[in-house]
Amino acid sequence: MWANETALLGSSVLSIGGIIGIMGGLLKNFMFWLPIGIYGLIFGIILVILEYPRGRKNKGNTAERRFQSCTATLLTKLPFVDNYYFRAIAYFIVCIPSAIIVPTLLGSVFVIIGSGIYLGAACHNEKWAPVSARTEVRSQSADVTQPPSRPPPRLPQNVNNPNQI
Amino acid sequence: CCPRRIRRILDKNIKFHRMCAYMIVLMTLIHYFAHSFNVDFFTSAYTSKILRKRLVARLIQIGNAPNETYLNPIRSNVFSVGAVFLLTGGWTGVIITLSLFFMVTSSVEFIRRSYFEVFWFTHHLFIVFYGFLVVHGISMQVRGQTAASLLVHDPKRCSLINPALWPQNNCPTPVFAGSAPMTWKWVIAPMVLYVIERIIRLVRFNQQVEILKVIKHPSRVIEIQMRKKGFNAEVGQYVFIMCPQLSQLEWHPFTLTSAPEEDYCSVHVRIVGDWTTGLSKVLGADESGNEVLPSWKMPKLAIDGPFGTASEDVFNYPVAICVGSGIGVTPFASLLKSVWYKNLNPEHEMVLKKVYFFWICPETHAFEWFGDLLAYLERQLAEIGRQDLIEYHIYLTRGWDHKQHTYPTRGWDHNQ
Repeated sequence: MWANETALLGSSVLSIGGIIGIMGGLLKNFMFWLPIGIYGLIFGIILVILEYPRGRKNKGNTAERRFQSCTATLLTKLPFVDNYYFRAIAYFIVCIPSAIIVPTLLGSVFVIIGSGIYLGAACHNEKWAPVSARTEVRSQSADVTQPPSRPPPRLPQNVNNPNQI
Repeated sequence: CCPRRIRRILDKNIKFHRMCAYMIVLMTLIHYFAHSFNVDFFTSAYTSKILRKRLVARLIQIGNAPNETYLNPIRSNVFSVGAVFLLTGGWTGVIITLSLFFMVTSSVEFIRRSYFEVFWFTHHLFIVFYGFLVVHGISMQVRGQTAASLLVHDPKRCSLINPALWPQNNCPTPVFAGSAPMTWKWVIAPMVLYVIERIIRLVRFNQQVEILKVIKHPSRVIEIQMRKKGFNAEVGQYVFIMCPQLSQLEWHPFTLTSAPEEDYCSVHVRIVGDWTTGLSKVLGADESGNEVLPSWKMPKLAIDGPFGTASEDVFNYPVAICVGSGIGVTPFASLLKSVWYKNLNPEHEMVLKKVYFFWICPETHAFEWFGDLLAYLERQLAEIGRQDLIEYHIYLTRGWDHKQHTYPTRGWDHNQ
């Protein structure tokens, strides 16, 4: 879970670093930045899309990110993405080329740290699973199959069936 | 001491802390990206393409001879990413940014709610953050010409002349100096205040807290009555409680439910997570323990506090409307008890004549102790004929359950 947060922030910083790299790369002095900047921006955006859906927590309800269902369906179709070993190694390899210029260095270091945390999570046999629909909280009262038919106060003398509120 | 408006602003301290954090993150990004251009200017000055410019070639040479001060902190041809680690500002910046990164990613609400220890322990990286922030500029690597040198060497004129011809043209070698670190001037006051606060917490940790009573309430709520010398709280304040037996590093906040007039202070603790479960076990209040623990077996507790804007303003007005919902109703336990005690005192005529109390919660589950407290207060007030002092309105938003619908048949007014 924390790996997801670090990788998400890291990939956003990588994208911003890519934009800075592109802007600097258009200057005469920093032309070397331009290809790396483009690389950083593209892979930063890909990683943001991959990291945005939050996986399901092992126990309890998981708070989804806003609009995460759009990309979550994409993630369920891609192979390998739910395996954290794959994520750890892939992010590491992706970030090495973008670590050679200073603007994208920051984002790549962050994503590499995120991949390290993913490696730790993979060793604990965690994997990404899509968040299922929230389970309804069962009311503690008697089993109610119908919605209440009258507004509060629901005095018992007005109610015929003590099981129907 | 302070007017109420200022005290209420101090209550929003965590929101302010978050605003500061967002600003620090934004400024860190801007600072980093700006300096990434800077680092590349420093290192690319040694590349052959740039060295063709005579001015640049001469400027990076200044500082190599004795008695000369340098302009470019990078003194030889290195790779730009390597230069980040050579510069003192660079590697301290790396440490600072990494600790900021860990702090920010673990402070999002999702991590705080579900994996609190990750948040708590990484947030202590702020010590590393502030330590290295203060020394970030210590090598004075942002350099410019000194004022004295500007008088004798005019950069506008001399930059247009071939640097090899400088001595003939009244352009003596320029002298450079770096600007001294200035961050410490901004952060020293808050750091000192924070250190003072931790010292106060250490002193309070060493003060003895006597546990008078532990009471088990329904729905896994325990009430701990304690006494500490010199402890005075106003109504509605909260304290931090720490139990060294459970964890040396965890101080958890609890609202005080006792009135200032009582000679003890009490908190009601709901047993939910592992710290509270451990607390109930060492207090002898868990499911297995039903015998009373003697006082020498009671665990050591430490109280830090009291904190919070008190609700004492309620006593300055003749009519008070108090609205509490869910867990927010806990300070009102102390408030209503204090109203009751002040009412008992015949000498001082209370300005407060009537309290309307509104309690909104899904159901009374986990708050039965509060309902009992309200019933007790109402009985006491009825005994002295002042039952119109406090008027209660209770709203249960989850509707009635199968137990409560029998109450009206037992003569319990539903308007209570």
